[in-house]
Amino acid sequence: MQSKEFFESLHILLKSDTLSKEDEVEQEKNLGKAIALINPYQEQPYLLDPHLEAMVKPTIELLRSYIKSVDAQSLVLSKNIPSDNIVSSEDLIKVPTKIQRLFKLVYYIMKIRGFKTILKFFTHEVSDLEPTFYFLVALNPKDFNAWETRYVLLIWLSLICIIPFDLKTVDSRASRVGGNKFPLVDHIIDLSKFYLKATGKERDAAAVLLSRLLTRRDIAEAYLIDYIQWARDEARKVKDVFTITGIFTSLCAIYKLGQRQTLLPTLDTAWPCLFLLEENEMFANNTLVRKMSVKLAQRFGLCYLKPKVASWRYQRGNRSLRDSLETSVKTTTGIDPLNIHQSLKESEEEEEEIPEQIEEIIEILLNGLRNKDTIVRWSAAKGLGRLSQRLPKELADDVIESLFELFSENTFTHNGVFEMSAVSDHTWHGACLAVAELARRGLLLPERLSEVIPWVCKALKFDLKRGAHSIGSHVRDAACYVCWSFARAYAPEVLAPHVPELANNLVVVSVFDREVNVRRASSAAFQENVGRLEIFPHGIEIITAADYFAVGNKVNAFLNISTKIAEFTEYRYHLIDHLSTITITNWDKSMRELASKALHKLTRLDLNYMIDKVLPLLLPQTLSSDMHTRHGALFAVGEICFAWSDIQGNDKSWIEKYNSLVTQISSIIGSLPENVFTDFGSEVTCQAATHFIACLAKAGWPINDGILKGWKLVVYDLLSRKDEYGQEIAVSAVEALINQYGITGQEIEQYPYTLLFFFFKKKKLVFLYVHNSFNTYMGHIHPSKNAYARRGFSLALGLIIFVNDIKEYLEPVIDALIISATVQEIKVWNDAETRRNSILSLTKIVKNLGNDFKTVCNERIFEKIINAYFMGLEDYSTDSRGDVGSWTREASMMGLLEFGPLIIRLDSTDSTSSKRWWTNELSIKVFRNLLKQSVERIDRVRSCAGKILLNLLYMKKEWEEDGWMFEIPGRDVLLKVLPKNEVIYWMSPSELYPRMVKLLVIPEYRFDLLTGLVVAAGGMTESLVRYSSATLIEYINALPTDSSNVSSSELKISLIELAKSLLDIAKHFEKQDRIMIPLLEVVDLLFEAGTLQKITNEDEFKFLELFECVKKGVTRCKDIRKLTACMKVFCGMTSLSDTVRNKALYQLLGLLIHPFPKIRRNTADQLYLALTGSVEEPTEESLEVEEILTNTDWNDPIPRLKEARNNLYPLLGIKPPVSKPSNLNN
Amino acid sequence: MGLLSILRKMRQKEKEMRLLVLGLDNAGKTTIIKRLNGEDIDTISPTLGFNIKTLEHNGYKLHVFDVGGQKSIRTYWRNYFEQTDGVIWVVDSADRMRLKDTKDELKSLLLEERLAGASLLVFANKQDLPGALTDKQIREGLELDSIVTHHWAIQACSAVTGENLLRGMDWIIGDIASRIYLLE
Repeated sequence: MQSKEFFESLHILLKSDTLSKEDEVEQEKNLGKAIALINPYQEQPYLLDPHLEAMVKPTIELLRSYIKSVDAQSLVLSKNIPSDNIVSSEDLIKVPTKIQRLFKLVYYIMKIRGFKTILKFFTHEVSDLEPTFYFLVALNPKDFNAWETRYVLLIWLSLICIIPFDLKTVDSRASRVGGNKFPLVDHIIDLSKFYLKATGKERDAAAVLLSRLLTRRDIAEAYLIDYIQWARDEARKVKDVFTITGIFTSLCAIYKLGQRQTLLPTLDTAWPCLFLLEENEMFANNTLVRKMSVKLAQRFGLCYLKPKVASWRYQRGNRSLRDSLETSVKTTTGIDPLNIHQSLKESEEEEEEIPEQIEEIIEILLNGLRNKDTIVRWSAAKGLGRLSQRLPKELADDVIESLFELFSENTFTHNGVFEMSAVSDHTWHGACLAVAELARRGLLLPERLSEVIPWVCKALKFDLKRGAHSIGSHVRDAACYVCWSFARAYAPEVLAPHVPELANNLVVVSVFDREVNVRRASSAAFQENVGRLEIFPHGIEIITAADYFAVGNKVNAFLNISTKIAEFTEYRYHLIDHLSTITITNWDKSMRELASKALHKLTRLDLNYMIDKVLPLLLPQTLSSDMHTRHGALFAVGEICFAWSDIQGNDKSWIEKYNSLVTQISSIIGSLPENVFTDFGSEVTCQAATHFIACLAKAGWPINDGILKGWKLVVYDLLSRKDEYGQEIAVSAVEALINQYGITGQEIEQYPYTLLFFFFKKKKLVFLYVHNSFNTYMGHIHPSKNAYARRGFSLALGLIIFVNDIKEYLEPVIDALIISATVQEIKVWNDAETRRNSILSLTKIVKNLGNDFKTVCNERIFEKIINAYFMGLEDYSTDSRGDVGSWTREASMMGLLEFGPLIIRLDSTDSTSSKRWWTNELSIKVFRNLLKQSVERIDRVRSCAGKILLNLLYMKKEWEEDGWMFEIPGRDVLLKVLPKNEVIYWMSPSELYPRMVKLLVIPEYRFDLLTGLVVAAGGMTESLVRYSSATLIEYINALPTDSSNVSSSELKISLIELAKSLLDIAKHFEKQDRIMIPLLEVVDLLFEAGTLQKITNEDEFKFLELFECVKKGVTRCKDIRKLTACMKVFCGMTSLSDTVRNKALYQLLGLLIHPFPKIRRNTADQLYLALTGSVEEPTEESLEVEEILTNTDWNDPIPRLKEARNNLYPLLGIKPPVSKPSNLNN
Repeated sequence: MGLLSILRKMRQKEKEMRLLVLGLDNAGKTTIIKRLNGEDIDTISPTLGFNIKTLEHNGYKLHVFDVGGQKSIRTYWRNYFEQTDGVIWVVDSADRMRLKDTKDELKSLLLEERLAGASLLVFANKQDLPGALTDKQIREGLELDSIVTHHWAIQACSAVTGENLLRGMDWIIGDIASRIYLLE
């Protein structure tokens, strides 16, 4: 840990006594810092151990000397507190905040490391007892800010009070009282009783103190029975849960710590406590109280029975496995062997009287095992373990017998099948824990093993379906615990007969359980068995393959580890059987799919087993009425068949040999009842069937046309569904089908037909808006609704391999894709996914054609495709999900990455045609667009564009020495700004924008890059806008006004040129608010910064043109954001030459009576600011203008405002409009 | 609370042992502990009360309870018996007069139920003094061979010189470690 920091804080906390207010705050901060430094150790607190002494000791020393200095004793005693009520109701002493802080710190250290460890560093001298106790008495128990102080003091007292002296001699007042009562002890007990009822942590501390004090032999004699009586009566009386918890906690601690002989006589008195819960429903519903009650039963039981020592603890090896492995070779020069005695006399079973209460206690504990709360079951299990250890053999065996009864509860045999669907998972969990506790202590006799192991194996796979999921992972975990304890308790020869069963089950759970903690638990149990017994087959190899970390990842466990383990025949078949019978019916779909993939891999290991045993078992399941089973079986059969054909390779004799099986498999889809494809929840079956088809297609399954047709119906159906995951499966099925069985022209005609509404007439694409003859497959679905089908089929079109007579469909297919990639004017036809998929398919086709592209396609097709990409880059459509067009843009950029280099390469190798298809203009266009996207608003798009940009920029012609793939202007600047050896964080606006603005100097890219930058600057995301707009404004502001004094050798840009570009953008995107609004905002910022005003020569830059553009923006605009932006630009223009200024003022005065009150108000504000900013010396007129602007309530109705507004014309030195006032006045 | 958390807890606890150091007064209990802990042993006064020390040895964390041996204190020894893995019984080998005393105390100690199963190491201390009894003599004097309820060993040593202390500690730690640990 950062021990230095901690000790610095501690040092400050310990130091400095009188504090000012500021110091107080500082000290509080210090405390917070110290606590924050140790808090992270909560999970593995023992790491603090080396530092504990240095942390606690000085603190305690200081607290101790403080406590002694207070002399609370005389203070308390002077108050004459009545002996039956020593609890003070007020703070008798004012504890300095410094001391409270230190108590708090000690409490936090205790909380993290556990009080028992921390307590070791506390002082515990005779002289500590009275001051500490009376200090506690003097504190107000109700001060909720100081409970840590009281908790620490109570815990501290629990240590001090075990000093090995007669407490009478310690008690300074004892001599005055006489008898065998001690006033101090009376007080301590009374105060503890009080805190036992507390609702906070003091309760636990009080129980600890009481148990320590009352189990001292001298105190026990005088006080124990009284206390037990009090506790019993109080427990019967009270109705609040806190008190009962406190009392039970104290009793549990007392019966744990005390000497058996002392406690025995009190048991009869305490006995009724065990049955409190039966009378009180409120207590019975409280988990903690129930746990305490079960624990108390155990403690009572342990008191009744004499402890026994189990000699087997020595025979069965070491505390720590690693230790025994490491030190076995070490020879030490130890004690003379003659001086050592290392055998224990087996304590012979003496005829011991077992008290009758034991029976009742065991019953309580057995019932506790089936409790609904884990902690209660745990406590009961531990109790049974400890108790049985002290019982005679026969009675311990009875306990085991009862555990078996718990397992078999509610099970029955139905038609010869063992049925456990009605059992309680709680009971099984509890029973497993108890078996483990007994086994660990060597109490489960070897004779019983053959009975218990079948139950344990069932528990290892315990999985009860409950609705849409299942329960039981805690039972499986507990079963792992049982197996783990077997390893510790039994000698190898005892377990040997059961090794195959145990090993196989553990391995299966290690790799195929759904829950990561169960896989890990099972792996740990297996490891313990291998380590201690050394008889598990291939143990070491399996431990290495399936260790704690390896089994953490489910996919890895299923697909890699399982195959490694299955190399060993001892495990192989159990693994396969588990997958094919249990996992494929799991409720979790991803489990079933993983199981099928694992079966695929396992098929390689023993094909014949799969064919002879597994497939016959799975085939009927594919028609199961249970949806999950059907799905799992279809997946599994598909994968096995795929692997089967894969293994056989070119040898096709298997088809003959297993003819009937092969036919049976081909006919599965046909045998499925129709409703499984249409009912509610049919997606699952559709996916499974489609995956099955994909597998068989990949396997090259021999089928006839009829079956193929049926398969395609299933696949196309899924391809048209909404379910995206299903669509992925369908696409891969289409690909497999096309690759394996080909596709006909007729089918292709059907594809685009569903894609949009077009169909083929004599192999020519005809676009239809509405057509009545939609009566073929899928045709009845109206285009406005079949977006899902279009998504699927647009992907499917990309999978077609254009060979032989299919070639002539290439152009129509590409046309169809391009149309479906186009943003439609009819909004309902638009579907972002379809457009993205169409572009993706285009790229896929390009890729598939590869080097044949130029031979198959002509230049016309090439142009269509390249333009489609450029069109895709302009897709800025949005819907409720936001900028969905970005998907298309990304797809287009990725397409260009493929397409550009391919064509350039083909151009260079093509000697026949003299003309190159790829021109330098195209290169520029590609880069322009990429640059624009690389400064885009969306991080993901920027990153995609940036990576592609770099890729293309640094791409070389592999057929030419040192030739760049793309010949583009401004390469020098690009290479300098985007160096190859630097990581460019495209996602981070703060880093990216300052870099990218430097590229504005390249005139070829300026328009697009600037557009991108402007749009980003007007974006919505705070962090993005902050950097993009600031960077842009700063950059522009620093430009020289005109280029006349710039040397022409380097690429430079002047302010005028940049302003012209802005004007170009404004003209170009006049109608597109997406760009126009950000642009206006940028222009406004430039006016605000005084940048544009630097252009004085209006011949070079025509502000009037800009004005006209803005004016058009205001006209009939209802968008407040845009209106505000325009208005601000007008305000900016008031600082220009008179012509522009006056025109702008007309507009502004018009806006003063705009129908939107908000616009009127804002205009008045902004105009006021603009005018006061530009006028150097206030004149009478200007003052009056200001007065009108500020004193008019612009929220008033327009007619009332007109007069005020009209007064402004002469004051501003412009004529009021004569003929017709601007249309805004209406 | 699953198996993995049990294991995690156990892995920590397995590495910890609780040892109780007892014996008559002036046997040298505190000196042995201080010597083991590398502390100064020049100024040791009788232990009034008890000390708790945590030592590291062979990768084990030893929580050592060292309780004073005065006659008046002995009746309070049982305050410290809970969950003890091992008892270190220290004998002043030069104190022939009280050999019987120490035998009787040890005998009654071993009857204690809560110490059942704990390993017992007898340190025949003060071997550096002239006239000290040998370990063999002490073994006979304490009638160690009659003890069948515990694993035990006796080791002659000197806390002042430090001689053989580690041998004894190695044995008791090894003996405790060689039995399987039950998480109680």
